[in-house]
Amino acid sequence: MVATKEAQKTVEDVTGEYKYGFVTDIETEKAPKGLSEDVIRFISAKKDEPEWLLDWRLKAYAKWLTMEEPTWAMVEYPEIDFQDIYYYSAPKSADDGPKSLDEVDPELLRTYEKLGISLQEQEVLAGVAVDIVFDSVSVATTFRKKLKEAGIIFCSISEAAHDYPDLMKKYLGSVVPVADNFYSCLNSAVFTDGTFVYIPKGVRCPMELSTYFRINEANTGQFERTIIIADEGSYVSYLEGCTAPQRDENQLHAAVVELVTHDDAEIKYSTVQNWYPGDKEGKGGIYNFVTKRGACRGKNSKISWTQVETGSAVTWKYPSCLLIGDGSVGEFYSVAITNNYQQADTGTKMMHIGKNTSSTIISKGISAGKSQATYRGLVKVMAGAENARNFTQCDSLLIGDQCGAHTVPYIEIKNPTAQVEHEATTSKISDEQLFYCLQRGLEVEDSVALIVNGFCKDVMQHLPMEFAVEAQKLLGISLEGSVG
Amino acid sequence: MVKILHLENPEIGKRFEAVRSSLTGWDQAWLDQLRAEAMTRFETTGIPGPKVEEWKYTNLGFLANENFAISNKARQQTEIKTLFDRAHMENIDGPVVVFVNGHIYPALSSYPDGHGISFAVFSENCQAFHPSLANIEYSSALNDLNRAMVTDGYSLEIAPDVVLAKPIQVIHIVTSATDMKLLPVRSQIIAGKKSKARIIETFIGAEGERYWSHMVSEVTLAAKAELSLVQFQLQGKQAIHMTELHTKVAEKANFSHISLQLGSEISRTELLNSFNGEFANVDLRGAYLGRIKQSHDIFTRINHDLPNCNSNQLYRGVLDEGGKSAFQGKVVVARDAQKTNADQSNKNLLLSRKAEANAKPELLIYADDVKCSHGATVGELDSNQLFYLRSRGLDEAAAKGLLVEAFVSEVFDDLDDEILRDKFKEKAAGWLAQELPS
Repeated sequence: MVATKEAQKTVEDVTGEYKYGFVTDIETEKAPKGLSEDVIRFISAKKDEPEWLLDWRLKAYAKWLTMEEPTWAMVEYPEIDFQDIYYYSAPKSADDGPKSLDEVDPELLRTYEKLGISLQEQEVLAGVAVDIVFDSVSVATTFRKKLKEAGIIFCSISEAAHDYPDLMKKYLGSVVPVADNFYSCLNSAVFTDGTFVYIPKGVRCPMELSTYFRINEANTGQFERTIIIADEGSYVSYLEGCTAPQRDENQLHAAVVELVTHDDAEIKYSTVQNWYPGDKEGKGGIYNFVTKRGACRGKNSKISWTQVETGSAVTWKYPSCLLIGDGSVGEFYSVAITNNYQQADTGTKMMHIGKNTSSTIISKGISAGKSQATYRGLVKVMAGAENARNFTQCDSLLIGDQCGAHTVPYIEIKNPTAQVEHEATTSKISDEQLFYCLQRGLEVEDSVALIVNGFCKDVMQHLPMEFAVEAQKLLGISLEGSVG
Repeated sequence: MVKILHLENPEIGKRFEAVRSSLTGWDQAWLDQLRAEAMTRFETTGIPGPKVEEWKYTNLGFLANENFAISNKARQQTEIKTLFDRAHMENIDGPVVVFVNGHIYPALSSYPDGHGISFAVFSENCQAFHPSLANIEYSSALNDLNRAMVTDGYSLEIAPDVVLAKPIQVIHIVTSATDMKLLPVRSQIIAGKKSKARIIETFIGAEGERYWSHMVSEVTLAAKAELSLVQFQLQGKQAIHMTELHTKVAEKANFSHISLQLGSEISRTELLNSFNGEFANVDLRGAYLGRIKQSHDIFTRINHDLPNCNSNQLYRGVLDEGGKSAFQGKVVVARDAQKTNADQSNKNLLLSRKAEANAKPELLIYADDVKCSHGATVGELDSNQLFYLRSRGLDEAAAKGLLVEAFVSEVFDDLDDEILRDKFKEKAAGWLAQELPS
């Protein structure tokens, strides 16, 4: 079992020491600690929101007070004191609204540079527009003009509430209802910012849209809300990536993402999640309780989720697809790596409602150290969903004998024409595999990287180019140009 | 909004008090006390509601609303004989134990005896059940309800090195009567070191009767023991049938369970296994066939706490018009249980529009050097296969029948006993014949 120890070390190198652990010192403007109607009014006022949105928030808050935290996930964490969290903080300079990068706080820019996503570079690099969320307020948006020419709306959710109230009213909460679950309800009450994307009919978004989320201020919960609407025949690829500074206290993140595709439209949503996972003793780290759901409302529409999850102390995340339109397609590709004391309970839901709908689920879990990774998924075929197809594969790789890998799939079929297949395996890196690589002159680290890479390949292939590099770094593997 | 996880029915407790002094062994103080304690636990726990994860696919709502009478010793001899003949396998020339409405029926029984076999019946010797009734390791709401109300049962102990030449048949018969009846029966089987035995249990009931048959079995296998438990469930179409089987399997022992679910409106089969020694094997398999309001629920939990053990689960379901099923399999591999092999396979065939199949093959793994896999599929008959058979001159019903039979037969094809295999085939084919009229 010598190899296993080495392997563990490699995975630690990959996910263990958090490279992005630093705190940027910027004055922030905070709402008082805790949650109350007043705090919600404060947030709403701060955002200069229309009356209907405030009402919407207050209704959500009233509902939230009656709800209980879910306990069914296989994760353990100390009870969260929801009154011990700041629900709003914004970089001070945001009030003036920087018109260009030059106006942006230089400290902020330096933070991004450390993260390797300097805006200048981003601007120069063709194809990517970045809407940066730094502690809950958008501070800079690029390429908007170019997108505007194509008729695409790409703005913060607060702006959308002002400028496109009709669209907001129509879609906000339409996929993830306010009372869907405890955290989505909390988010509905206190969401501070996020991204709003609308792709008009027949438009293929000329570039990949990307938002970098970043949690900075201590004790600030991050409550993002993302809405992406792809109108008839349109296409958009959206990238979401996250890093956060190192700190001791647990931070709560409860985001909501809503996707809607109309006839023949497609949304590809990719995530690289690398928030602070806590230290080696399991202290600190982000709590990531996210509700992500896409509704394929139109015929032949498609929603594809790809995620690489390496961070967070506790992850609770199930990007789902409602396949309503006939012939619609849902996909879920996931790699989840957990190390040390990380816990991840993640998976997907595929709800087959329309006829001839199909879905694919590929989930790869890698657990090392004392971590626990769980795949939890539901494939449901309703009585009217003729000819539904699903293929599910979830594989787990265990590195070390202190970790756990779990699979909890639910299959619920009410239509005989459905064809549903589910496969799962659990294994470890075999000594034979390692020996084979070593014998050919590879270092142990490289060998493990190679094997892990091979294990995850099915998923990595679906990542957009922009993310491939980061994912590569995160997995510590060389993809040898196989990702496109 | 507080979720109601457990349901209550205070009538059950009242009913218990009313019949307490007439229950089997009422004059034994220890038994009466254990019964009362079990009832208290049941009332404290409550009846698991549909929000309880384990009971997601079987609704116990009927328990909250209906009032059960404890079954009486009704003796409609001709009816008993008819049901007995349907269940009894004459060509297996072995001992037969018959229960009617949850009470032993000596007239048709011939108890197992001979060297190394201790056999006891609860109503004749309740002392033999003391350890099992006092042991609350397996305590759960329904187990406790069973414990409090238990009417009868059997206990079988096989001495080390004893090999039973003939299988033991146990037949549970429910006759027609008017009351909604509760039939709580228990059994305990202890297979000694290197012993070998097979038990065939058949549950059969009168049609059109609403009754709740609840059986709790505790099975222990000593090192190198071999035990095969076969269960045919042929209850009446309105019955509720539940079995709860706890097994403990020691070093190098082999336990196999094979079941066929055909009858009852609601059936639930719970198989809960733990290993007591290494290199032990557990094989669970079964077929469930359901239609019109029928719901079958297979619930397994295999705890691999020790290394080098194997478990295999193989379940096939066929659901037609209005039939519903659930397979909830759970394999838990503990930290030190290296070299575990665990496999779960669940396939379902939906024959009609209004059928429903649910599967939840769950793996919880805490050890790294293990081989665990599960597979689950749901689908309809392959149209190419159908076409092939029809092009060979078979009519549609015959072609379908052949394919369904082949699908189900995977469960019992490996059985080493030809008589049993034929019985499985006959029963399954009977269901299919009703199903697919030619």
